[in-house]
Amino acid sequence: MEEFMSFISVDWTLLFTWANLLILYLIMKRFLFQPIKKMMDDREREVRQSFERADEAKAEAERLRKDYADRLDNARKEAGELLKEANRKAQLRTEETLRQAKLQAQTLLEQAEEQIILDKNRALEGAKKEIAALALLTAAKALQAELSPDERHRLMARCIKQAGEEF
Amino acid sequence: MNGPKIIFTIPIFEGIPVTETVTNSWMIMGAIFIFCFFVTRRLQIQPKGVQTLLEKFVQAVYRMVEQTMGPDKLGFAPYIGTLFTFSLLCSLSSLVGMRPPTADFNTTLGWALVTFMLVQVNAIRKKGVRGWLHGFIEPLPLMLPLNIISEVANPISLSFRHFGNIAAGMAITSLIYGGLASLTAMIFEGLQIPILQVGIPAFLSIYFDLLTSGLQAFIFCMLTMVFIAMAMD
Amino acid sequence: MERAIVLAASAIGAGLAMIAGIGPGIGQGYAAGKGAEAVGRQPEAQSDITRTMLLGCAVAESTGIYGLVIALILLFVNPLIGRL
Repeated sequence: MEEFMSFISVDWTLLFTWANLLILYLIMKRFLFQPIKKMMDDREREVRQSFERADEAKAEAERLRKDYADRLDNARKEAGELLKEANRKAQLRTEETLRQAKLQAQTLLEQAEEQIILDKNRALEGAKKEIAALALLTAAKALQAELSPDERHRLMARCIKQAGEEF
Repeated sequence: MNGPKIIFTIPIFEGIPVTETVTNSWMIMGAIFIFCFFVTRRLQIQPKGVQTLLEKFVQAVYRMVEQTMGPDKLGFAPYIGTLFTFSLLCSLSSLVGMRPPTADFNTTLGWALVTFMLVQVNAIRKKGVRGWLHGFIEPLPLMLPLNIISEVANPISLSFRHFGNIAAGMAITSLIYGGLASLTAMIFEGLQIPILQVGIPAFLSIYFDLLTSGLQAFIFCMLTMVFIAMAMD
Repeated sequence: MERAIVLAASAIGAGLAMIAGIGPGIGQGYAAGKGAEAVGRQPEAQSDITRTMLLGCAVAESTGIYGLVIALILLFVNPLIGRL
């Protein structure tokens, strides 16, 4: 014959309840909440670390890219300046060469002119002497030695002077 | 409608009766212990299977504690988790034919008294004995008896609410089973096999067993958290 | 004879104690109406509203449960017979 406790009563079961609750609290804390919380915290820390590492790598890549871009810019600028410098130098040199060529041509021209004048004068002198001699000869021939030597000289000088004035 | 059956008696002090309630509690504790032990023996970083469920449950408990009590009181989370699991599984054990341990007033009264003690001890630890005593005279010294009654009424109401819901559910279910049995005997002329008991109580047990158990366990934990948080301010 | 009177009185008392069930019925119905109105005003918050409403209903149910417990005690524990 089984006995039943009352439907509502406060009896020794209260102490058993406290003991059961305490034991179950210790069991669940030790076997459920602590391991799982530790693993969740580990996982969150790993994920956060991997995110931080990814951010760092990205910042590093960005920095390198900026570095390369800067260097490229500098190189381009330098190349431009070098080109300008080279152009300027080339221009100066051509001008210089032109000037020199002009000078040379001028000198040559002047030399040639002087030479021409000299030649002309020489030719003139030669021609004058020949003409004088010819004239004298003609005159001598025409006059058939009617002249004395100083008349001859005086005639020659007057002929030359006239020829010279004409020229 | 009877109280819990006495299984055996410990022969000290004139016999301490150990009832169904206590043995059912032991069985449920054993089941929880075996489950937790075998699932957390090998935890993996990428969870799979049952471990996901357990992680979700632990996460839900921690989030509930953080939301209700604030992020600095996460140390209470294992106790709240224990209370919730124990209450839920005890009340759900009526689905497998056991008399639920929470249908015994001693169980819920024990838990409510633990909550009451936690509230007072944490209030003293936080505010000091003077501050705690001063809290009773808070708005006006005239409110002293009202404050004391309100403090004492908290565990009584907590325990009665939980016990009343589960015990009433148990009483109504057993009445319906008995009623269906005699209805069978009346309709089918003395048939002793109560075939009308087959489908109908199942629908009622959706409310009385599932909904009530979950809701009462949740309310008990929520009110515990709110009382402790209010006492620690 | 007195036992019969005590048992009858306990039964009537149990029935009278269940009148306390009116309170939670009206209160929780009103709360459900307010909850439905709130969901209609902001359908995205439905799960929050449902949870809060269930929380409030379960706390307000306590007084009805007190009446039920008294009725159950009077019916099944028969405390008053022991005082005969």
